[in-house]
Amino acid sequence: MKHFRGLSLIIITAIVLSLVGSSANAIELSELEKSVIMIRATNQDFNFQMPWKQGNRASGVGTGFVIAGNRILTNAHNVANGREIELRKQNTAQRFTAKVVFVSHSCDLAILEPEDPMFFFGTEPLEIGGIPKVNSTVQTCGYPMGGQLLSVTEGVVSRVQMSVYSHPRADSHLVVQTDAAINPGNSGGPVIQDGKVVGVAFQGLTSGDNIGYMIPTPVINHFLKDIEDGTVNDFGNSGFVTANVLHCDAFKKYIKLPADQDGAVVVDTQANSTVDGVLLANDVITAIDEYNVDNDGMINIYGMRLLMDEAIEQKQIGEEVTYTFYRDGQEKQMTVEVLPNMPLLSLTKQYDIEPKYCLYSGLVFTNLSRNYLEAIGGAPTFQLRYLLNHSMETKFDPKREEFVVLSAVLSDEVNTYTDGFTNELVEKINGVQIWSLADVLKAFEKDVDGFFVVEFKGQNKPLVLDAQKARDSHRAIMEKYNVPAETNVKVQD
Amino acid sequence: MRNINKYGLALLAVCMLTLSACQPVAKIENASVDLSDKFKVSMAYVEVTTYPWETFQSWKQGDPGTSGGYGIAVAKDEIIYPANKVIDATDIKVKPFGQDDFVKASVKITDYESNLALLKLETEKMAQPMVPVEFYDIYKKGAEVEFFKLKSNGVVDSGRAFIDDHQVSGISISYTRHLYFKLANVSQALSSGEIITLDGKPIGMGSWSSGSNSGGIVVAKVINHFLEDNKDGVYKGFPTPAFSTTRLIDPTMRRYLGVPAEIKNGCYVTNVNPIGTGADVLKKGDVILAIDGKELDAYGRYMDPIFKEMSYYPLITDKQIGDNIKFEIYRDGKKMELDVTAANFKVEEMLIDYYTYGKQPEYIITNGFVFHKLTRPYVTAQGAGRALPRIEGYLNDESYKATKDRQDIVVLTFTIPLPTNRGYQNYSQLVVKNVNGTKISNIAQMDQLLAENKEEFHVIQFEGNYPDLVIPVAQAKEIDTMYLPKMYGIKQMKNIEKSKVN
Repeated sequence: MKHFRGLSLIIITAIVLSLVGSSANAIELSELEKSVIMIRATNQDFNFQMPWKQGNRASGVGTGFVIAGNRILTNAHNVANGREIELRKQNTAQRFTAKVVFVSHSCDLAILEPEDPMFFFGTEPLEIGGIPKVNSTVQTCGYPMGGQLLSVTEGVVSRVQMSVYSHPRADSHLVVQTDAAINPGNSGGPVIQDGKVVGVAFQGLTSGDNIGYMIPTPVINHFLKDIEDGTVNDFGNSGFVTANVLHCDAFKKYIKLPADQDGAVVVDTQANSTVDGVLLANDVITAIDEYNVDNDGMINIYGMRLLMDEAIEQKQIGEEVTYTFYRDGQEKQMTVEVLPNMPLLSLTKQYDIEPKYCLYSGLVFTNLSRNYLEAIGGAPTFQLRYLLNHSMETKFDPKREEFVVLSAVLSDEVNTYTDGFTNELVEKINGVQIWSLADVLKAFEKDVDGFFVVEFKGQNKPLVLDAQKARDSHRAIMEKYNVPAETNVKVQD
Repeated sequence: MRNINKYGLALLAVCMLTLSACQPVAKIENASVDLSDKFKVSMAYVEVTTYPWETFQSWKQGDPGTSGGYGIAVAKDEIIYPANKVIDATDIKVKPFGQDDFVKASVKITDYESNLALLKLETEKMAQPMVPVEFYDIYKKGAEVEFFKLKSNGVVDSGRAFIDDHQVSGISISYTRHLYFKLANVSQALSSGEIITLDGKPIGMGSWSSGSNSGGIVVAKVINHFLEDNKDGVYKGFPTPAFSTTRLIDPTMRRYLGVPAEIKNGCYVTNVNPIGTGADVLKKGDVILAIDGKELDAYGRYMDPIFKEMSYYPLITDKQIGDNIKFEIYRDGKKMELDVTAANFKVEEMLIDYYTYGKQPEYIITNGFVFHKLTRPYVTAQGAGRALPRIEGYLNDESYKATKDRQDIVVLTFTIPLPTNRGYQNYSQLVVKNVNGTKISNIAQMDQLLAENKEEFHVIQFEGNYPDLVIPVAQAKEIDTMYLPKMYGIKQMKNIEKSKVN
């Protein structure tokens, strides 16, 4: 139930620093000053086309706050790909170095720990509250748009819904929308009601006025519970795709569902999920645990009407979920373990992970990822677009671990005529099917009658190199382009 | 070899004609005589009203439009005219030189590939017979040409330009390529149908304008092929290559394909469609060394005695349907000669019809669901990049590949919202796979399956992750016959070409 949506959400870490006076009429300001801290982080991105090179380096300001157990909660995007993290408290000039202890890029939350435990001298942890009611007042605290002093703004809760988190791009979780000003630098700051944290400010909508979003407490609590065992497992996924066609009476009758029964109709299941091969097309999901599913695929939970995904969102990986469903007019139940979302082609953006590559004779191969697609920019080639649009509904060979693309050609005499293949999907190298990057260099060990032949999906011509010349020039090309190693992929035998 | 001789003779004949006509023309030019007088008896002003069908709401027609142009007489009551100007024509009026009243005309032949149409005038309304123009196959790069047209007010107008270059190219209405001359410094924009003359001789017909002052003309060779073809009353059209090629300049790739080092020429066959010239003989991966005895270079060009380097297309399009064309190729490391029969195809033979000119799109509406036969205009009308990759994939890769089991791709286009189709109203661009349990080959079969169904529901299944579409048959009948006609004025619930029913 993960979808790729083009919402223009903006992450609100301040990049540009300008002086803006802080709000003066903040409630309990002196108390908040003990809990809310400024985070300055320097990050360095990865280069997804030529992964041995470093990407851009940038510094930004965000906000964090102290929670129980001497921990600092903030947004993952404040510290993603971070190299250096510095904390500042409101009332002292002293700077503290911190490190990331836990991070979930999926729900944009991170826990930081200062190197010096003296940091917590004089701090007060904030308590996590509940979900604020729509139209109730909340205060947002943080360090927006520069300035050394804490800023507090007030607004009302506009609505609570599921929405795409712009940091991972493709993951949806619960959000609370507010009209309190949330600006760059507010990221990671607490949203307060009745002295308790009801959310973490994290993104805004650029196309509308006064639309800011915070991460609500069900998501925060899920993260805090998730890390109790010392690891981040993130959120589970139902593993099935549904359609809201029970609005059509004829369809209801066709699948022999009682006329008064609501639910969502299964159209497909995802490979690597607990329901793959168990749930079938035209099964009707009528309840998830105790929550009844309506014809819009929604449930009543936390006193609100939310997408049924929320019933799985609140569970930890490894917990059980019970689906009630109808098949051929019979009600059935099934209890399965909640598993993480593991699609073959993930549209979630990755952070803190070095991209993989292989290089042979100037041909650079990498695995297809969200980051790669963002790096090449523009419209992807037809084959990539096809894969992105239809990957959920295509049954891939179970041997496939990932998709491999030719990301660049480091120009040399040996590969002079290889233009036109960049950004295409590699199918075979020297007759060997490529299921993962680890297969690439192995496939170059044996030539085909003196040639290296790379075949691409949907291309009517292979890329052909003279095997001997390619072997001879392989190292020289690496030297010419300062490539430290031919691969960073560990090959298992 | 027989064909080369024929071609050679034709060229020779043209040369002789040129020589014999040389003297008087020179005199005329010296005396600055206006050639308008010579050609006016062959000119006509043409007015065409078109009324195209809408692509998606295919039960309706768009706004009628009228455009003017210029025809050139090729018989006493026949003119040639650009084919793109008569697409979806409902009314054609022609005013030949020397009369003020219009004469009704009808389309006799259209060849969208060469952008030529032959229009027949109602003879009895004509004040006098027109004088046919003879087209001369001559080309001089950089030479000045003069062009003439008969304006709507009966006055002959002329303009000048230079022959900038020749080009073998496809125009937007066509799926193949032809030889055109490109004109530069055009004194007044070519619109269509002007007589283009070089040294006082007609060499082509104005076809298009591009940019501020350049334009293109359909050349004599193509016009004469078109006219010659029709002489026996059966128009067959130009042969069309079934294959596409790409350059083969990489020495490693050449060796990999088994081409010996001493052979430096030949281009690479990237794709062979099942219809057209070479469909049954050429294979993807072949290296074409020569066509009809003319050696192709690594870019697929041959050395033409007049035009110098030129794409191989004319080596095929110049032939007549059924002619034998010798191909010399490399395949699997062996040089071989292939006998290829010059062939073309009708656009209806394609899986995704390249165009639907003059035809109402094929569609079925039931229960508010609008299904269409997928065509290229259907995809292009969505706008660039708007079609789903699945649809785009059919267009890119399968367009020519109709089989008995798959003659059409049928697509759910949109849904007219009704209480009986709730839940489905957001679906569009879905490719129909099965109708009532049967895999469909074409839209006519889908229509038949819907008509024959005795069950309570129609069940339509799509390619990809979509729910079955369930249509209550009895309610749908009421909607189709009562509600949609009354509320939306839709009178025609389907348009199916009967020819394809299995």
